[in-house]
Amino acid sequence: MPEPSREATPLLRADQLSTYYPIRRGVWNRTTGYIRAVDGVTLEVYPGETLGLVGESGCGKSTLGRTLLRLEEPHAGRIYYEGDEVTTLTERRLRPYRTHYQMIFQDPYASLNPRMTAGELVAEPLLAHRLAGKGEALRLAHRLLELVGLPRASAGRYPHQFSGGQRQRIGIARALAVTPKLIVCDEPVSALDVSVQAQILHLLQDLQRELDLTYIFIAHGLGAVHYISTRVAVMYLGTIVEIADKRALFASPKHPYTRMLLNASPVSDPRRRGRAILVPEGDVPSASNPPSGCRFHTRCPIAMPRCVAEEPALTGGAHAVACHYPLGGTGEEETHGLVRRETAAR
Amino acid sequence: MVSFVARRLLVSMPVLLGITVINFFIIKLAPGNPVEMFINPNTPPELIEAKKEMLGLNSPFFVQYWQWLLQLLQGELGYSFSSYAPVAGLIQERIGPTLLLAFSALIAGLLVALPIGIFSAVRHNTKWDYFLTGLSFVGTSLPSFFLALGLLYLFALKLRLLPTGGMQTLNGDGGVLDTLLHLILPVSVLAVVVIGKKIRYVRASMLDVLQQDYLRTARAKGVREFAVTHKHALRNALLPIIAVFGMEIPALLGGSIIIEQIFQWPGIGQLTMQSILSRDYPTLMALNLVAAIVVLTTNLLVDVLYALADPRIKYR
Amino acid sequence: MKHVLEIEELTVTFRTENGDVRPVDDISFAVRPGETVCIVGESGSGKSVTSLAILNLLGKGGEIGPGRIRLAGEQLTEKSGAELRKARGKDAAMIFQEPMTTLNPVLTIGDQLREAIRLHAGLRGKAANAYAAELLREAGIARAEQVLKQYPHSLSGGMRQRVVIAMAIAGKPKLLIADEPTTALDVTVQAQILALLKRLRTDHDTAILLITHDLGVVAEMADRVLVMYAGQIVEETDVFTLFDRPLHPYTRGLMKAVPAISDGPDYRLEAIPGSVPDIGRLPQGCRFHPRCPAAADRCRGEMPTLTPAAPAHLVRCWLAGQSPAS
Repeated sequence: MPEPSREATPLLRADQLSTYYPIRRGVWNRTTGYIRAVDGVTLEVYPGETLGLVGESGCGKSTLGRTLLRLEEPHAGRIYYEGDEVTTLTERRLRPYRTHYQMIFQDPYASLNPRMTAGELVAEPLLAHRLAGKGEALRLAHRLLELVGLPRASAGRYPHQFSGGQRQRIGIARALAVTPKLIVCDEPVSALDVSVQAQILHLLQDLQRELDLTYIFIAHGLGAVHYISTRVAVMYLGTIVEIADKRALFASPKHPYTRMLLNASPVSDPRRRGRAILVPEGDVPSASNPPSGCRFHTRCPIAMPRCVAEEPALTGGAHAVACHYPLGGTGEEETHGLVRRETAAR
Repeated sequence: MVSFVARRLLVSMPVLLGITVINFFIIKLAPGNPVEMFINPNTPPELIEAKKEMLGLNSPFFVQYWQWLLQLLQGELGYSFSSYAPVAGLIQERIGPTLLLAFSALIAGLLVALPIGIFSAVRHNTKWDYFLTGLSFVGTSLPSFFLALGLLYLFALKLRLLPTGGMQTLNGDGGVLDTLLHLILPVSVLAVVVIGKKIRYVRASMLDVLQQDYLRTARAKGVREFAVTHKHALRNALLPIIAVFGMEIPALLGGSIIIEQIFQWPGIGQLTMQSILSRDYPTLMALNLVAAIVVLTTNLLVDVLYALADPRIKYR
Repeated sequence: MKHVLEIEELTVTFRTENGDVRPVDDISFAVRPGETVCIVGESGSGKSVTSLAILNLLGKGGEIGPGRIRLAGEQLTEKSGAELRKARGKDAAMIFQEPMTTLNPVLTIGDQLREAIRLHAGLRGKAANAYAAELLREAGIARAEQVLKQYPHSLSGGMRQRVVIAMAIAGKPKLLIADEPTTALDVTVQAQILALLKRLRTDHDTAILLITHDLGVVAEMADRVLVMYAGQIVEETDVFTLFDRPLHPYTRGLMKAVPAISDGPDYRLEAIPGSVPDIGRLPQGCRFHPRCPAAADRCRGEMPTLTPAAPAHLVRCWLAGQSPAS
C-alpha cells in the first residue's frame, strides 16, 4: 500500500460540516427542531489512503458519507474536492467532479436495477456522463467486469442470477466505470457471507493499488475496518470523537467510547472470554436533542462536571480526540482501570 | 393530532375552491341552458332572453361564478331553477337516504369481504382459494345495472319477495322493517361490487401479514393457530384495509346515481340526474360541493382512523 | 435426564417448484442441561432451519423427516399439533434474529408478555402484570412498568431483544434456542445481550442452542460447537479444540477469512474462493470440494462421513486424519 503523503492537497476536505433533517410540527408545519445526523464534522482525506469510519447505527456515518459526495444537502459547513469548494455548486457545475467521487453500497441488490444486465448496469454511468458511446461503453463494461473478477459471460446476465458477493462486484465495477479517484464504500461487506467478505476486501485492496484509489470505508464491524484502513475515525451522535492512524487508534484508544467499542467487539479466542467487558449503559440519546457538553457524558463511566458543561474540541494532531480527560496507556489494564474508575465514581 | 386535523382542514379550503371553479366551468360547457330545457319551443325569443337575463345567465362566466361564490359565503346555496325550491332544503331531504344506502352497502361489503378474504388467504393456493378469488373476479366484472335488473326480475317480479323500488311502501306504516325490505336489493347490488374488489385486497393484505416474523414469534410462544391468525395477524391486516374501505365511500356515492335510478331510491343520485337533465345550475353546484366535501372528509377520517389503529403512526 | 435435546438423523425437506431440496440433511447432535451449543454456518448451511425444525416452526412447505427430535425426554416427532404447541415456550423457547420484526407492532409489550405468561405460568390480570414486570427486570430493563405500556416501535433494537428474551423465559424453559440473536445489533448492545444470556444460563441452568455466523460470538459463548455447511454438520467438538486445532478445511478457511484486530504487521486475509453453494444444486462428493484447497479425487466422487478424528472431535473430511494441510 502506498504511504499517503500528508503534504499533498487533501483529495477531499470537510470543514465544520453538518447535515440536519428538519422536524416539522403544528398547524403551520413549522420547523421546530432538527435531527442532527452530522454535526460539525471536520476531516481531510488524502490521496491513496483508506479512511475507516466506524460507529454504531444512528451515529451519522452513512449520512456523512453521502453528504461528502453531495448526495445529501449539507445544512452548514463546506466541502472541498482537491481544494475547490463544491458545497453549493449546482448539479450541472458539479458534474465534472461527480465522476471522480463515487459510492458503493451495502445492499448491492437494492442498488442494481433488476431489469438491466450486468453489462448495461456498468455501462450506464459512462452513458449518463457522456464519457463514451453505446458500443464503446459496453466494451469498457466487459473489461471492468473482468477486472472485478467476474466471468466473461456475466455481462449478459441479470442481477438476480448472481450471488451476493458477485453483485457487490458489479456494484464496484459500476463505480469504477467513470475512473473515480475516491470511492465511499458504505458497509460493502456487511451483508455478505463471512467466507465471501474476504474476497471483496481483497478486491478493494487490489483495485486501490492498481488504480491509485482512495477510500472512505464505512462499517460497523471493527475487524474489516481494522484490516483495510490506514486511518480510522470513530463517530458518536453526529460528531467525530477520535481520529488517528489505525495502529495508534486500535493500540491505544484515547476516547472512552472508542475503548468501549473495541472492548465490546467479540474476540475469536475462547481463552479471552473471561476478560472484563465494559459497555456504555443505556441507549444512544436522541440526535434531535444531543446532551450538553460532551455528547458521550450521559454514558461515560469517567464523566466529570466539566464534561457536562463544556463541549470538548477534536484536538491532538495526528491522533486527535474530543475528550477533556483522554485515556493514556494501552491494552487491557487500561480497561480494568476504566472499571476501577467507574466504581470509584459511583 | 389536533394540529394535523387543523392543518388538513386548512389545506382543504383552497382545494374545495378549486373544485368548485372546475365544476362550474364544466357545467357551463354542457350544451343548452335551463331556460331552453323547460320552455315550450313556441315561446317568443324575447321572453326567453328576458328570462335568461333574470337568471343572470347572460353575464360573463367569472361574474356568474363570483356571484355564486358570494352567495355561498353568506351560507346561501340558492334556489333550484326547475322547482324554485331552496337547494339546501332539496339536498337535506335527499342526503339521508343516499347515506343510508351507501353506508349499508359499505358495511354489508365489509361483513362479507373480510371473512372471505381472510379464509382465502389462510387457505391460499387451495381449491377454496381459487374458487373464492374467481368469484370475486365475477363480482368485479359484472355490470351493476345488469345485476340490478336481474335481481329485480327474480326477487321482485317472479318471486314477489321484495319491493321493486322506492324507500317505503306507499301509504304504508313507514316502519323500519319496511325500509329494510326496500334496502335489500339496492344494497346487494352496490355491495357485490364492493365485495368483488375488496376480497382481493383483504386476501393480499392478510397474505402479506401471514409471512411476518411476529407470527412466528407468537407460534413459538405456543399460541394457538386460530389466535395467531385472528388476533395477531388480523389486527395488522386490517390497517391497510381501513384505507381501502374508506376510499370506497366516494365510489359508492357515484355508483348510487345509477342504482337510485333503477330502484327509484329518493336520494342524491336521483336529484343529480334530474338536475343534469334540466341544467339546474344551482342544484348541480351544490351537489358537487357536497360530494367534494364528502370525499375530503372521508380522506381525513381515514387518516385519523389509521393513526388511531396503528400505534406507529403519529401525526404532528 | 441426560440431555435436554437430542436430535437423531434429522432431515428437513422443502417442496419447491424445481423439486425437493433438503436444507438439513441427516444431522444428529445433543444438548446437555446448562450447556451452550453453538451452530456456526453461513447462509444456506441449514443452521436456521435446524433451529426452526425443533419446535416445528418451518411453516408451509417444510417437512421434517426422517429423523427424531427428543425435547426434555419427550419424542416431539410423534406428537400431535396440540401437544407440540404445549412444548413451545415451555420446554424450549426461541429468540429470533430481527428484533425489529419479531414483535407484533399493534400490540403493547405488556399484551405480548402477558400472553406468554397466561400460556405457561397460568397467571392472569394483576398477577400476570406483576410477573411481566419481573421478567423485564430480569432481562435488564429498569423501567419495566413503563415499558409494558409501550408499543414495540418506541423501543430500540437492543430493548426489543430484551423484551423477546423476557418473553422466552416466561415459561422457565430448559432450553433457549437463539437464532442469530445479536446479528442485527450494534457491538456494544451485542455485548450486553450476550452477557444477559450468560447470566440466564448460570442463574437458571438453562441450556442454550445458539445459531450464529460469527466466530467471535462462538468464542465468547460456546461450550461445544457444530460447524454446518450446505445442510450437513462438517465438524463438531468443544470450543477450545475447535479454535486450537480446527480439522475441517472449511472451519480453517472460515477462521482465516475473518479479520482480527491485532497489533501484528499488515497481513493478507485468506479468502475462501467461490461462493456458498445453492441448496438445490449441490456438488457431488464432499459438498465443500469445489472451494477446498486440498480437494483430492476421492473428495469429488465420494461423500465423506462424520467420523471421530480424535476423542470427542467429529469431522466430515477424507483428509482430516492425514497431515493437517495448512
